[in-house]
Amino acid sequence: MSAENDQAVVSEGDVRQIASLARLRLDERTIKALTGELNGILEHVRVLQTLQSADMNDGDGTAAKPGPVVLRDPSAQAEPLPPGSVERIAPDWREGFFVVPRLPALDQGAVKESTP
Amino acid sequence: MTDGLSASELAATVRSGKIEPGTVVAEAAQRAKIADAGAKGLNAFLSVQEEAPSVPDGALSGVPVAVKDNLCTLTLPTTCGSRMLEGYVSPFEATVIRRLRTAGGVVLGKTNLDEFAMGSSTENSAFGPTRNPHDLTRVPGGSSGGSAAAVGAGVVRCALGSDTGGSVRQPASFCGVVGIKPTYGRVSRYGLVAFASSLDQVGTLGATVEDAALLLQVIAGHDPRDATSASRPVPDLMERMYDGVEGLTIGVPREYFAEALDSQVRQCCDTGLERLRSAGAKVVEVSLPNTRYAVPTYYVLAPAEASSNLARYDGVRYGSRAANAESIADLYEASRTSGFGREVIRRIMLGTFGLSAGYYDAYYGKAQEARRRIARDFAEVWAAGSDLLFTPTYPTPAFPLGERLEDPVSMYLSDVYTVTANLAGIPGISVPIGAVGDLPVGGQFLAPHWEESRMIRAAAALEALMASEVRPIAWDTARELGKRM
Repeated sequence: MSAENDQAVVSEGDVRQIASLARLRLDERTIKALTGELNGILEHVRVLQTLQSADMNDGDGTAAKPGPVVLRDPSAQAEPLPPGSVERIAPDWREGFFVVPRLPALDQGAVKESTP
Repeated sequence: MTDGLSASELAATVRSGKIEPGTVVAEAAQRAKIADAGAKGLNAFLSVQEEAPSVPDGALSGVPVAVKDNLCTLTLPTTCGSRMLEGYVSPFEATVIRRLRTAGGVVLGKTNLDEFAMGSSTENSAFGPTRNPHDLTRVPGGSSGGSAAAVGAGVVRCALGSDTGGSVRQPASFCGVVGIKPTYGRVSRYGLVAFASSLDQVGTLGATVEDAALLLQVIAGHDPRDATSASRPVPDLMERMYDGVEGLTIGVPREYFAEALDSQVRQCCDTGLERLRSAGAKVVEVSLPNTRYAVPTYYVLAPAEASSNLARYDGVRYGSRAANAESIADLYEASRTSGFGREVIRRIMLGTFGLSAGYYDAYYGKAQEARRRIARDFAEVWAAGSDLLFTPTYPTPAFPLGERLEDPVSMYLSDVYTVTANLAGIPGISVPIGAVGDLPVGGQFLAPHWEESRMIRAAAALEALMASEVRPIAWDTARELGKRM
């Protein structure tokens, strides 16, 4: 990612790229506005760059580490969802499956060609 | 009939059979409807329970509780204040809701919030802003603004919220009520719609310290369905509530009393500290030198976690789906773009940026380091002898609706006194300490991990010491609002 000027951390091109990563489709007006807003926020966040890792040493000279990872007891199961509940909240559901738009690859005969 | 009764008094009355729970709930539902009605209504509730279920005997028998609409309930929708989840009814319920019902409590309704709990004003809701019951031209704070307004208007005695960076304590301060953020891990997050999982914690709001503490007592405790919920037992949070502050050492961090603090809010804090001192507390100045990193750290880590947590909303399994998508990628993008509001998109973008290749170390990595430094600051003041810390909850009283909507940086910077507790995982409580004109002001106690009892004890003492300075809960606000219909 590149900066368009000395002050900016992100450019409009960067914002388009971030939106693509985040699965968002933004119009040009929103991209322009967000570019300014993100740079304004990142300007305040920049103070974190002054942190030196050495400052994080504990008294014994070792770097402070996060606590241990706690795992959920595998015997604790979520309750089974009531029958029909997934179907009820699904935007589109047919014969036990979530329905989504047809993959373009299927229209190109990809499956047929790969079938022995 | 139930006006003025505390939550525990109300529950005792219901248990004694002197009043039917259905009557209590009907009265509260009527207050909610009146308070919210009309263009100048509070807009605190997104849905209200019409029927009172039968309730078991318990600490909250028949007590109506307002519930933030990011906690999953079986009978009412859980929208998170978002078009993305408009009309969504969860197939399972949050552990805190189950515990509330087991104790006899009744979910009166679901309350408005900033979309997915992202905000400090409850203006970012897809269903319109909530208004402050003490001044209808001002915000109630956020993101648990609907819950705070419902308690502040006298619709209910207590409510549930969630606190990721101050979202229970700040609206409590603005609405003149009490708000508790427990230690991270004290309360189960199962069924709380995730925003930033390492910071999120369910909290309680109450008309008094006792009301908020009672609700916390009911919902706290280990839950095997939440790996981050602590297995340690929950003490009696109210056993020593009225023991006073004599003998306690209360630290006052100098970094929380800097230039950004409104002079009249500072005056309220100074008065509070003077009364704590006169009641036998030892007040000492302390330093939390890494406070300056707190807001930047929060606004790197929370959006990063949010960008990951909100990736699940893609229009496939539940939630809003854009019509006429031509491909699966098209479905994802169109559904997310139309389903999320402006602030949520801003934070997803910020979080995605902070986690992206080339920027991860400079932003996310540095923020993780800063978070450990902030936690160490607190550990050092506890080790040096402070039992608690006292700070303002927010630099100003409630601000006018719309004032900061176009200035996210200004909105974010004001979270400086509350985000540190979330970053360090420690408990905090906001309690009314005075007013600036008609606007309530809150003061905050922070405590070491798992020391909610000590914090509640000090807050109850301060509540009594400041009673003459504090704007009363607007018990008749709902009726007053009704006259404007």
